[in-house]
Amino acid sequence: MSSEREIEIREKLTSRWLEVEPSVRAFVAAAVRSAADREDVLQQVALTVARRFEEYDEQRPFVAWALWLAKSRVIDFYRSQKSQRLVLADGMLERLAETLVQRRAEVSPRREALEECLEGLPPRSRNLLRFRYHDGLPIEGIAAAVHSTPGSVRVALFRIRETLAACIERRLAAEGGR
Amino acid sequence: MIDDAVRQNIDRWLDGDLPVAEETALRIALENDPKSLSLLADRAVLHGLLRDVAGRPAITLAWVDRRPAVVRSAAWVALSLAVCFLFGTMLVLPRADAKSADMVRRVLDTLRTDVDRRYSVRVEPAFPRVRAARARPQPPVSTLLVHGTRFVQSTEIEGRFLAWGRDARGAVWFTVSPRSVAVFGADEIPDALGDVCDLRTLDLATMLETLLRDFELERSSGSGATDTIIGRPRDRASRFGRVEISIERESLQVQGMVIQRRHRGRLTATVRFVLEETAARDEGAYEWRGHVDADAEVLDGTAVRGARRDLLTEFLRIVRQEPADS
Repeated sequence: MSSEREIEIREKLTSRWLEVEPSVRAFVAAAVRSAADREDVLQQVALTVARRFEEYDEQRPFVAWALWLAKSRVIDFYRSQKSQRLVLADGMLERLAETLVQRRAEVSPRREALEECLEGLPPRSRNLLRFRYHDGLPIEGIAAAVHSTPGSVRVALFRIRETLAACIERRLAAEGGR
Repeated sequence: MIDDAVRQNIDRWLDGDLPVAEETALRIALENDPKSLSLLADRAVLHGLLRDVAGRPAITLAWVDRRPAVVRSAAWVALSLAVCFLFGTMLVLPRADAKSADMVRRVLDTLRTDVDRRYSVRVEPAFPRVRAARARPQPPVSTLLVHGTRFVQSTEIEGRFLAWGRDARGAVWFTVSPRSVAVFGADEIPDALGDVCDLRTLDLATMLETLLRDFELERSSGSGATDTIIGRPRDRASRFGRVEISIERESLQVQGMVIQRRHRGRLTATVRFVLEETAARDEGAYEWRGHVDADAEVLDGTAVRGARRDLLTEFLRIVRQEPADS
């Protein structure tokens, strides 16, 4: 293979992966229990996508192909972890992947809407989100950091996400995005 | 309308916080109600976006792992190898300026990996808004002693002496006072702590190899006895921006490096490393024992629940120079 052709393939692969990575990450997060296992499975999916990229049929949506590979890697993961039971059965994984394929086009508008919605949150809520998503603290760690209880932090984060989800839907609806 | 308990359980599942006993109830809800499955998909996307917006790096296929080898998972190493195998051959300078690349290669050839290097390090945040809020005319300079993936870094911020490092076993430790030290084993380092280590340390050999592999290089006419190589990443998704290396022409010693860091294409910080000394140091220089009192409290995995996390929160606040009430 000429180096120009290899560069072209590499650029195409990188660009396609960056486009679908949020959907694949969401699929793995919904299907696998712990954060560390999710990272491992996601890396396995990325590896499989890179290895098998030449098999990808450009007539199909790339996200559907990547999620099909992700489903196989999730099932492989549960097979290797005999102590863990598959939380979503095969058919459920299929439906989850279909839902995420349908949502794919909305990911970028959702990100933009989220950034705007975050601006409207009070500092305390933003602080909790920072502890959870930037610092990667578990619920107990956040509770210790803000001198609260895990139960209160859980409820607070749930309400924040509900608020953000509703705000995102409103913004998308206002822009005719959904 | 989806029941509130199901909605909460979906969030707890995505937080990795749902008790195993509740999983069956969640599974039944997801199987019986398509709207619940749809909510799970939406919430999983939201969690991912929050993670992105909060500043964590996405996995990219061209990523060079920022963590030391000892903490890379086998899968990640396999991914790197596969990607290198698939694409590596054409990444070795197909378009780089030949003389610049040659100079970097010669530096790599002569690079002694058995020595310890001491640098002064200055991190300049890219966002003026952040800088203004912090009201600091100059970010503090820290001192970095590094040998491969081992390092120890120290600085004084807000009148407090901070030190942190990574030892030969890959454990990361830090202290904000001589009275206590927090230690995280190689397999339990929180992302936020890993990010601090990644941003402020410099493994010279790895950086030069990255430059040769992933950057367009050009040589700029240096002043006096020094040459300057400018590197620009080929991949827009790179976590690095422009990189500038000052190399002493005669000895091929790297005198300094200015590295721009990016996230999702945006410049986030400029990190300046200036070489101060090259010398052989004892391995003990990278361990926490020399940086705290002999009877200091050691917060490792066996410490009282939450104590190590509290110290991490304090350390991150000081390193990021955030006000105490933020």
